[in-house]
Amino acid sequence: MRDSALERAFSERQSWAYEAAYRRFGARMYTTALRVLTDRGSAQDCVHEVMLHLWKRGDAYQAERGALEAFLVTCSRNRALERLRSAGRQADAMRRAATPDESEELMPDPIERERIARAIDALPVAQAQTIQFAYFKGMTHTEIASALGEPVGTIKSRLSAALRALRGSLVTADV
Amino acid sequence: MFEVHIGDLAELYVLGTLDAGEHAAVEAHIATCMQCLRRVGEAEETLLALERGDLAEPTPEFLDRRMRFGAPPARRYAALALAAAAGLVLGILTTLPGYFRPQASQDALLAMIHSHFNHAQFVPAGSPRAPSAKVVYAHDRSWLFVLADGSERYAVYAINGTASTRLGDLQPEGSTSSLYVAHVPAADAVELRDGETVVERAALR
Repeated sequence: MRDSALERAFSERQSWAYEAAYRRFGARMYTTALRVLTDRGSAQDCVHEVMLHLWKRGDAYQAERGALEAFLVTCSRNRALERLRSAGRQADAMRRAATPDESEELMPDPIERERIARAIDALPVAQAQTIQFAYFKGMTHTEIASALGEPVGTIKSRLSAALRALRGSLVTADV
Repeated sequence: MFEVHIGDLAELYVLGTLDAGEHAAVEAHIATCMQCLRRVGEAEETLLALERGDLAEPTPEFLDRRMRFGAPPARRYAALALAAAAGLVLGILTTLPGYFRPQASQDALLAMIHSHFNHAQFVPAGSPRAPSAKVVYAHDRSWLFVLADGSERYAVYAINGTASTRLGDLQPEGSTSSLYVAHVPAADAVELRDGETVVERAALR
């Protein structure tokens, strides 16, 4: 359930809301960063960087945007991808991301995983493939286009359509 | 960069597939376009749904490394020694068990050491579940510290006449829970609430 008071206070840059958001959503942000970075220390640093960046900026989140947790998780993922790309470790991360089950850090939720797997399987094959590249391997649309030998514009449209389709099957009203 | 709206870039922005220039352009656009902001928000909720397939256990170091926003810079004192001295001198050791929990009460402890304060007992507002609880607050209302017996995460509100301001939630630590607030709005009472229900109330002098 969304906490409208917390979201409003966060958008107004109240310190208690930042502290509460960190306590409530920090573990999920950490998981997201860890999946990308595959290093506990880097994932921790990434989450703290995100929170401090948002605190300094102050205007990045508005309640009209959607769930605060979703916003913070997206920030965490994007920051983790930035760190990865700036460090030039994409190839290594892709190799490890291809075998996420081997990570000792991630505890799979079997019910959610099954639901996600079924939702991805239900996509057209080409859409499922681009989501695998973009979400699970952290590739840019340019890299995906190069890997698949298809125009960048096609990949962009396909990725967008895939994520919107997944919303229909994965997102419930109480996110 | 965009003639009207960002279109498909909303989903690509959330997936993190954009280059730095495109990413910045999307951020600039959604700062002023509510329609695109909502589309980005919807994509973010989908990403969150994908993320729910896994959960990593944060390390103890991560959980202990609490973040403070807007609080005074931490002072470099011998915290535990001062904690013991302050607690004994002020005669509050038994009523404020949270003080000896590193992290949770550090700011409250330092505030108490360096300022004058009052305290008030919470009075149940009809709820049979109301825990014994107390609020300690600075004379100048620059801070307050709520302590409760039990681990319920009640919301703490500052009450000023008919207005109320949510200050945060009690955070459980062992068998008690507490909340320290560094900047307190004008208030003549503090309430603990469970959703919309007022559990108990403490009047501030």
